[in-house]
Amino acid sequence: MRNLLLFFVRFNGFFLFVLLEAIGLYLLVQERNPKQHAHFAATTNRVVGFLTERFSRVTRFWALENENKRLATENKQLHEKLRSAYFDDRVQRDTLETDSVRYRFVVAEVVDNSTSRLNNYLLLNRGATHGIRPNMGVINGSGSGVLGIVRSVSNNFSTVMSVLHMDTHISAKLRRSNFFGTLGWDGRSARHLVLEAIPKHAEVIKGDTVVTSGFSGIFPKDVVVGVVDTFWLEPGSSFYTIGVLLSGDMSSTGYGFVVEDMMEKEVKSMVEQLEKTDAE
Amino acid sequence: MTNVQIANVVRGILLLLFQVLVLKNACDNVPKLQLFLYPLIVLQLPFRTPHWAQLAVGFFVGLTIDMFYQYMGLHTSALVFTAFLRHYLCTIMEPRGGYELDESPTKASMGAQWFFQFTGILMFVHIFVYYVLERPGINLDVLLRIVYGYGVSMFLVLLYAYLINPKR
Repeated sequence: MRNLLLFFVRFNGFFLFVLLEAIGLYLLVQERNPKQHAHFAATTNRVVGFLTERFSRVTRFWALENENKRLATENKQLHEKLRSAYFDDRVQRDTLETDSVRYRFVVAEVVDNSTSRLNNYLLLNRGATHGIRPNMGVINGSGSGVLGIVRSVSNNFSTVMSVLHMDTHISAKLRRSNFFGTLGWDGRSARHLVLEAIPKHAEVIKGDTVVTSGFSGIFPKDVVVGVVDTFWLEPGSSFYTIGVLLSGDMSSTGYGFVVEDMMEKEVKSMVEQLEKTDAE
Repeated sequence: MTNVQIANVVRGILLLLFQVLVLKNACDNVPKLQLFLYPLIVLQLPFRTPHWAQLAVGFFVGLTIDMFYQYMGLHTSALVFTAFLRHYLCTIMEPRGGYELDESPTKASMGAQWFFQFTGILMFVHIFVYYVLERPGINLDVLLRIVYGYGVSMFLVLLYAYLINPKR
């Protein structure tokens, strides 16, 4: 027994190393598991979010000029969308017109962002108290495109899995031909995403606009993501691999719109019902 | 606490803040590049720091960095591994006559050549382990990231050694 104790004391460094490394690797494995990430992040978000937000207020100052320009262009676009900017030539209103809105948006400031890693996250200064829940989509508020999907929330902050995260997958389609596929990231370039599962018989043209499909309800449909830049058929594959050039710049994002699907429950219960009947 | 301990704690906190508040987002517009300066917190500990204490510092510094990078376990695993090897590298690179009491592996105390060999080896170990753990498997993309990250981080170490910590 004494010898055993002496053995442990003699090699204390090695045993402590094994223990700490095991904890580190355990955390790393849990991190890869999406549900666990939420657990850790919710506890750390509060402190980290506070510090990072304070500091980003300082650095944000230098970005104000660009932010102003972007706001001006966005204002212009919004003005163009106002009803008064259209010529109303409708003869008759739809009889079934209702005021039901499917999506609502929460404006949130991006207080932290990264693009140079393989799994990138954003931090927003809006959280559970503002009605944000995991799995909500986030649209780029400055410019166009999507930012990512909310992964975890604390009271005042939320962590967003960036589209530049190798586990992020978004349902998207080609606007011209309506063929849909899955949008992901291969970790290579912060300006490009990869659209997969577009069948071989689809006609793809360089410059085709890629938009969200709206299938999952995470994003509204027809949010412009980018344009087709390159595309090819892997040998033996019956699906195209398409390189999509992002229309918004992920490395200069000031704020985002968090998408709240007002009909999420309804859609979900329908899907569950379907799955139940399928199982029988 | 002795002066040496206080100096180490202050340096640690300053490097930590500099890493998570400045370096973390400093090169967001440069693809594939990430900067690593926080390993210095472990690398600069005094020679007589016991092995377990080096590992503990590596673990807690790694954990703090992880929280700010929103990626639990990654920096911790890499830094604990670096701290583990540091102990043996100190033994291997021990000059004739041993280390002096309270001495740290700085450029001023050990000379530029010794310092950059020591720091260069351990920084490479850290960055290599970091990227291998981030996405298991090695390809050209990961190698490029290692080369960029190592090159620019060592340049920062150079600046640190000559500007912040010159002493000579």
